[in-house]
Amino acid sequence: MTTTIQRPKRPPVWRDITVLKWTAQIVFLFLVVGLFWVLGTEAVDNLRAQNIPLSTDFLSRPVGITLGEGFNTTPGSGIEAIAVGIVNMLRVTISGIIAATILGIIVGVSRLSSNWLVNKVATGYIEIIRNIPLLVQIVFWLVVVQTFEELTVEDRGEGLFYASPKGFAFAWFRPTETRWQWVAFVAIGLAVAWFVYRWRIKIQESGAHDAHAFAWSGGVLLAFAVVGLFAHPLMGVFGWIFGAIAWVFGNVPLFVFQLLLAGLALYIGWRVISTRLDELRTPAGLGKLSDDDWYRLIMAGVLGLAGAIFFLVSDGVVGNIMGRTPLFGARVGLEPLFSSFADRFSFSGGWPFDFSPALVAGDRFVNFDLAAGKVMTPAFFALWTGVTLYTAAFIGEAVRAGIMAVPRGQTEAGLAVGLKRGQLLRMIVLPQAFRIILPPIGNQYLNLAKNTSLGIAVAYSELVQVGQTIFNQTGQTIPVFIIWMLWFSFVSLSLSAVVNAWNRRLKLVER
Amino acid sequence: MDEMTSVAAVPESPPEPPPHGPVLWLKNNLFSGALNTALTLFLTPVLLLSIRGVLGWAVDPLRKWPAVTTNARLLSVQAYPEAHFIRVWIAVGIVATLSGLSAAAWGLGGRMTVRRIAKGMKVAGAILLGVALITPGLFTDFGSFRLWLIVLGAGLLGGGLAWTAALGMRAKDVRIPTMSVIGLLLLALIGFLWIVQLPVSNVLVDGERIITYEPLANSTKLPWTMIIVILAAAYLIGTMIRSAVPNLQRILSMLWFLSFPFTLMIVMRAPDIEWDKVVAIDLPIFLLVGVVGSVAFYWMGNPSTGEAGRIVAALWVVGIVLWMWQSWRVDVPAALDFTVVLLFKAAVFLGALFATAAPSFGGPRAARLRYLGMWWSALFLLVVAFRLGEARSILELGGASFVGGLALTFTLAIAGIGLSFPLGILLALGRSSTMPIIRTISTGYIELVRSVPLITWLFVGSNLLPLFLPAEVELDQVVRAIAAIALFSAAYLAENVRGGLQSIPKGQYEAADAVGMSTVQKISLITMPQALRAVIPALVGQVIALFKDTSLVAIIGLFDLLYIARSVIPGQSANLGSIMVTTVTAAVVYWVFTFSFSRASMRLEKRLGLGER
Repeated sequence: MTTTIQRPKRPPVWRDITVLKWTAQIVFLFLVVGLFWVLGTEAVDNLRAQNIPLSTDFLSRPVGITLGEGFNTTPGSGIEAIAVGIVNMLRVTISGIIAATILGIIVGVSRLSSNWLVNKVATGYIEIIRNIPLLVQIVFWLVVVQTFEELTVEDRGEGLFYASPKGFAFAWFRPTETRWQWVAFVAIGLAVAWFVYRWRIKIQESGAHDAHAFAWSGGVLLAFAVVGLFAHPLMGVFGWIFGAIAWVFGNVPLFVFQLLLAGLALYIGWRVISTRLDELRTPAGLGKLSDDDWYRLIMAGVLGLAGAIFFLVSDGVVGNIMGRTPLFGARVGLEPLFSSFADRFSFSGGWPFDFSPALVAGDRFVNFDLAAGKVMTPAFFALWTGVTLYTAAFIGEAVRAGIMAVPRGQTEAGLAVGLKRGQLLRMIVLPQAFRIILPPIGNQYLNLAKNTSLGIAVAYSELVQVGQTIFNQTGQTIPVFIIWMLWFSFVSLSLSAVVNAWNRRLKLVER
Repeated sequence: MDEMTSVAAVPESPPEPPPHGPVLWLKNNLFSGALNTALTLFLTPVLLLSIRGVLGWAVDPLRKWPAVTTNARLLSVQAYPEAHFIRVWIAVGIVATLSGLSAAAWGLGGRMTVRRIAKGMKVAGAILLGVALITPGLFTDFGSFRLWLIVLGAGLLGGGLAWTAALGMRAKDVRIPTMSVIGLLLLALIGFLWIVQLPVSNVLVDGERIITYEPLANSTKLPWTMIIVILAAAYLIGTMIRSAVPNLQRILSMLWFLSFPFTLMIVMRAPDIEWDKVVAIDLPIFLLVGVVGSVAFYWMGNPSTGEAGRIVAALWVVGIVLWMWQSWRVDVPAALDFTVVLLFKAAVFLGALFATAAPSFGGPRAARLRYLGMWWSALFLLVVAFRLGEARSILELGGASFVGGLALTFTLAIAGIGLSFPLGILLALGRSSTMPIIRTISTGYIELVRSVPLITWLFVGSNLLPLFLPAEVELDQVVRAIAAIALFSAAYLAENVRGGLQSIPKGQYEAADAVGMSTVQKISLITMPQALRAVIPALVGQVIALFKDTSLVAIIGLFDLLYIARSVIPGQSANLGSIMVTTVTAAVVYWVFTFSFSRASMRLEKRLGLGER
């Protein structure tokens, strides 16, 4: 008796799932492209009708706007105004992230406090702050500043702190020319402290006693900070190093960099393909690739190749990146960046800070003129206070959830081997909680960065407010919107890249 | 044997109750150790002083609270025409009716123990007494207000104590229906509306401020009383019909769904319907498309039809899309009322959507007839909505195109979430699909939208969207804001839904495949319901975030609650310098709604047993 193995019949074309899927996708792609095409032609028509030709001229030309605050309140060109906006946005974001993290950890730990009163105060804080829109809170803080009393002539004189409807002024260290040398010294100290920490941890893991890793590394850092006050002229070496780097970016023939960047693009594409193939490889050899796999592989290759060709062909863009050719009339890029770094270092000595009391001179206070100390405008105060308090409430909840998620058995085991309460927290609970807390906190940092855009409601000159001012002047909505999109995407991507990298380091290695 | 008897000989005694009492509680919770004692000693005066400061600020005669009380109507619905105000009340009445019926249908409430009620009374009484005692200046400026507070507080506290004392240990066993407690609270609210004096008018006459005191919201006390009565009546009716109408819950869900467009229509438009058009245009189109559709779907849903049904559905879709495309800008002949073409196209398009789903939801005769029922009701709603929307409105909203204030805040939130829901689900399906192009496009959309803050999308809606649309299409500013909010929120929603989809075990998909379900059936009947159920907490969180985010439309100049509180009222000549009071009021209003949403969602999670298995 013979058995014939029947090959499965291929279904007719209109029932073939592969054919159907690809047809549907291509039709969908055409619809999306068609939609964009229709919208694009409409936009071009409408702009022509309104007599506003689409252009990026405003970036290199004077735009005639005055900004509320920033390193340059009367920017000479559009790109300068945008740079001021970006720097202002980063000022709020970074100071906000630091303050919100500290406050959030305090709130989160307070929520777990065994003290009833502390617990309730933290809960009340979270429930109030979380349930009021951030914008309302920012407006509230601005109104609070506006209700302060105006300073009078009697307030002239010297003091540590002044508050008025025009903002706050407080005494502040005046940094001197040599501050960057000291900062570099401390940065080196930070790196050394990290190695000391690792070394102490290793000792602790090999022996049974507590090696006080934190105390050791903190001491090293402090020592560097103090010694750095005197030894910082050594860092003048950095001036040479940065100068050399800047020279390389400025003078090595451009095609070398083009080749390097093209090689990088190709390498990344090849890496993606090879890792993907490694994932698909089984002991029995390479399995059958689905059309989705083919798509991923081909796309990685095509994108890598396209990137390489792009860098080889467009010497202008590479010139922009290196700082050879100005971008929209502004000298940006790697060469100017490193030259400016180099300028900050020299072998000259002296204190990095002016320790003489930099009191606010009352008669030069905001009401009359800029104060000698630090000035915080009402807009900055409102935005910063708003985003900090708001984000801290969410971080507090994440911290609490993270600590609660550490199984109770861990604490009990720690107690059983005789750890003290401080050691228990430091060695058992916090490291495990941190792993759980990090992703939500990273999300909150991202939200904070995006929420700084609400500064527009209190006229704080961050990127969105500056952009709106520009398009009210020039009518160039589309380029301004593209700039917004690029900047915020860049911030999101880099923040999530940092958080993801950190997260990978902390991840449990399972089997 | 001996041992066993000796064990049995030990007399049984109830376990010793753990030691308790106020002193022990204080020791355990406030003074357990040096650090906690120090914290308590430091925090108590700080807390008392800050509460005293806030209360003193609130009752200070310098505060311009009349700015809020006299503008209560502005804050809720902006400048709504006086003559038509009854429409707003009807809308509120509809919501009250549905709330009452739903509370009955879902059997909300249950019973509460006397101990819990008494505890609530004691806490409320103690808070009132505390407020009366520490608030500075209350006595002099608010007349007998402090006395009233003390009497009320003492009454509640004493009542609570007496009740627990009278029942003793039984206090935790005796239960009282929650709804009767809520009913009493509502009665108290009605009394409050009719008795309490608050300033309602605030005018400057010859430089002198004249404030008139009236019972709270003198013009609205009757309507509010009516609304509360309607709420109670609806609940009572609901309890009576709940057993007689088996699928009351499903009917109510449908009504809730329809209530938003319906109330919006009532508040926004007073359509002047031309009945001759209804007879000449709507009825024929309704019947024609309805009958043709019925025949087609009945045939397509028949399992023996097979392939042909799908082919006809596909042709139908392609046909209507091509027709809409080619007449995108073609002028309709003047002889033919353009509404005819528009309505006909809309009806045929709806038919195309139903046709694509017909083979999936067909089957035996009963299933097909049910499907036809859905088709007729959807078509009916489409025709009615079209006619109501098309008819000229005789309601003049005083220059504004939409109601403003809190009503606008709610409109934005509900419309935003309603529109973003389907789009978010589609995006989630697209992102988790195995089709690379669709996945790439969905992922790109989601990531792009999420990385840019909402305010920039609102600017896109208000400044960029008009550029991308044909010059003859004019969208209202509110509609553009809704579009921006919906497109923004859809990306976040999609990520939540995707999380739910990923949590579904593979076996569910395989089981659906094993019983021969099509992809559409698998998604709509098996995976999506489970995915959505799993992410209800995240979805509610998204709704709350969206509600808060609507305040951003104040930046692009829409008259929402925040804009009126921040920019409109402080600009009135009688209310200059009232910005602090109005901002705080807006904050309190937002807080009350958001806080109750989040509490309700926590209760819902517990009820559904989410996270417990």
